[in-house]
Amino acid sequence: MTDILFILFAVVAVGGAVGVVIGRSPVASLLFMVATLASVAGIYVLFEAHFLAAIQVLVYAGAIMVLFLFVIMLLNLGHDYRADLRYGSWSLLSLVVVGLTAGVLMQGFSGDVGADLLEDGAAAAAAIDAAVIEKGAVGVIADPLFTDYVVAFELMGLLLLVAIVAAVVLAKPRGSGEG
Amino acid sequence: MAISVKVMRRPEAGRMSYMRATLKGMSLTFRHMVRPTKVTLEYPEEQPELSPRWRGTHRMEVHADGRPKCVACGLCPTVCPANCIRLVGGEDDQGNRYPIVYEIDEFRCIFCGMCQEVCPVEAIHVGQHFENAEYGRDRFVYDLDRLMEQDHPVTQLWDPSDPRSE
Amino acid sequence: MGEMQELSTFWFVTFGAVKVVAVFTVVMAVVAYMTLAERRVSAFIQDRLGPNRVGPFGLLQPIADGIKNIIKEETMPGTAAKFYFVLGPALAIMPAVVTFAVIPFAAPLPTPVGTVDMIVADVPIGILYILALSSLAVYGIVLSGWASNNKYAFLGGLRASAQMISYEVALGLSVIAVLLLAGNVTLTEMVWKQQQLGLWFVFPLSLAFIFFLISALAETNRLPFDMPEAESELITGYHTEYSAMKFSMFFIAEYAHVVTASALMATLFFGGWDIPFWPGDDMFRHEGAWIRGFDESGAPIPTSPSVLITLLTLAAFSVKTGFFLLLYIWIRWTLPRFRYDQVMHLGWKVLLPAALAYIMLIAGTMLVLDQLGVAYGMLYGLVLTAVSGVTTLAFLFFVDRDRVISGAHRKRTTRARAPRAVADPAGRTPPS
Repeated sequence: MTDILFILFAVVAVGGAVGVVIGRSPVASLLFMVATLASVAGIYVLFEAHFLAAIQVLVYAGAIMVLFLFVIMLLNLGHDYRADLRYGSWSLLSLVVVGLTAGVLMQGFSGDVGADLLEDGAAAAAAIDAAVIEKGAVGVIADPLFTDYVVAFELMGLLLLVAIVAAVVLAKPRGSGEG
Repeated sequence: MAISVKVMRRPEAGRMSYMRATLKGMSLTFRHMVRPTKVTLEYPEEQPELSPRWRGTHRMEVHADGRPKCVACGLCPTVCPANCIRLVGGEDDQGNRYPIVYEIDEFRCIFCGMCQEVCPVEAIHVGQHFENAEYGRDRFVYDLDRLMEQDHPVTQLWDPSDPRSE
Repeated sequence: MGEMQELSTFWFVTFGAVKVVAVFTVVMAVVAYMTLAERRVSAFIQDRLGPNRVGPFGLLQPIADGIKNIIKEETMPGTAAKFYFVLGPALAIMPAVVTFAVIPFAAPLPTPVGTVDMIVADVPIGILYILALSSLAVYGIVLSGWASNNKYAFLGGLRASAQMISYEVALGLSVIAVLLLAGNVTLTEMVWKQQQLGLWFVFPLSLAFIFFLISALAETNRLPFDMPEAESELITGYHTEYSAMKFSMFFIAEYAHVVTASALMATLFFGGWDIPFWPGDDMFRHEGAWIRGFDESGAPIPTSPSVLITLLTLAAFSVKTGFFLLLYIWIRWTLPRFRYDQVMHLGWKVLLPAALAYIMLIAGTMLVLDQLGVAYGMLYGLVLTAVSGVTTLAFLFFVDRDRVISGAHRKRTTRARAPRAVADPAGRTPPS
């Protein structure tokens, strides 16, 4: 049952990813992207990572992609955005990137690395199960995030804040001064 | 120009309490929700009370032996402002005048009631009746038989309880 | 008796399927009768009668509406993006019907083969599941507005997306206060914690409840926040071009959201299926046994589920949810629609900072109480109630009387005054 669901989600995820690239309109690409994100969330659920799945849907599919949709619809990209991407150099570049990624993945999963992962995985899964019972699904992630990694977490927040401020500065019309 | 203009004063900034206004509105709607003021007449089951002076579709009074009271004097087609009455008079063996054709086009009629007012023998009346739906336009030209069949109460030209209206 | 018999896999699946079907049917029935209730109650509020022709008191009206919508001819604008036009209603209704799955609607039901939880899926992420799926609801609205190729529909879709993103933030932040007090995200545990506290969360977290109520109204696109539909401005907004069953699906989706939001308010803030002033229905799964609470020494007090308690708690849950459904209708037919900039102002500049500050306050109070060693119980709740009560009054005082959000008059006077002072040659001072 789990295998069937995994194959289903995996096919949708990969198919969606391909769809993003070859989609005919930006809206179609975006919906493919949402499908990919949703199926990845489904795969998380199969791994019993419910919290990660919920956050995946809540943040990526529910908030960020909606903003993308908003922007795409407002900008009305009806003209020659496609021509921009259909140059030979772009296809060549994408082929190189895909090839490299595939190579790295093949390298990573070849040999007995996978077996290693599985063995560790069983132990890790048991540890995670115990932690979930003790702290709850959210506590397992929240606890280390706010104790061991709190500095990194706060720095990430600062980084995002900087990005937001930068976006506001960029978006502000030039020379308007105090508006 | 309206007869009078009511100037709606907006409250000055900072003088209006939205909370109080909201709660007031909620309590008002709640009062109506639990005890609605009944203004709807559930028509087919409940019939409206028509005024005695209500002028609806016509009715021809008949004698006890079933003849129409009309004597075909021609006053009603003459007085009718909408020109909706067609009357062809005739005379029987005893010399009594009677209508051979008496048709009222209820679509043209403006229900002014002048035919009733002018009738010397109180034969044609406008009635207290309004349920006139038909399936075709041709059914709205009422002929003599149809007018005699009607049995709804006839209109009083003035309200008997109010002598001033006479 | 306190021992718990676990369900075998077969019975778990069987009862799961039964619960899915039953909850779906009940939610759809409530949605159908919610449309009738809305029309009847709005009619009473406006001194009318409402639909009372089909069946006794109009009770068969939803069925007649359904039949009408199914056999009605559908229209599709010739310039619409056809695939997305059809996809829109489907995407709108999907999140609406699945979110109810994690809401517990009664105390556990004992059966000969084991105890059945009265919840469709007790997933460990509880409320996050609802937030995640309801955040997807905006796709259906935006897509259908865009695919209709109609400027009103498009405006409605854009408004919907902006509004739902904005109020999701306030909704999430108001829920965080509940999570702080409950200590977990599953709704079953929230009900249990409210039973343990002896107080429904609406008292210790009164301001969070107000935020949640406002945000839930905005999230479900109900008046006074029905910007995406806004009949007087946008015809009917995103579903302007839809007819027959496709239109009906938007309608069902909206009411299903209302039902879920009502059930959620009942669960988060009004004790869920808890019956007030009666500890007999308190029930929670603790280390493989059903317990009612903990005694002085911290030992669990065992209890056992019974059919009667299940039925009573189901009734309690229905009453609470029904009250919020009525409140939704009542608010809709009382308050006028906000202006769009006021909606955004309220969401981002009032609710968001206020909710953040409130979370800090609640967290701080809880920290102090924990440090003082106050046990989780009535005293704990009462202290929080006092703190929240003061905050709530301060908040209400603050937003009232034009201090934060002003009506049209203030805007108009500030705009109109400046040019007039310049253009007036007589040098008269404008009336102040």
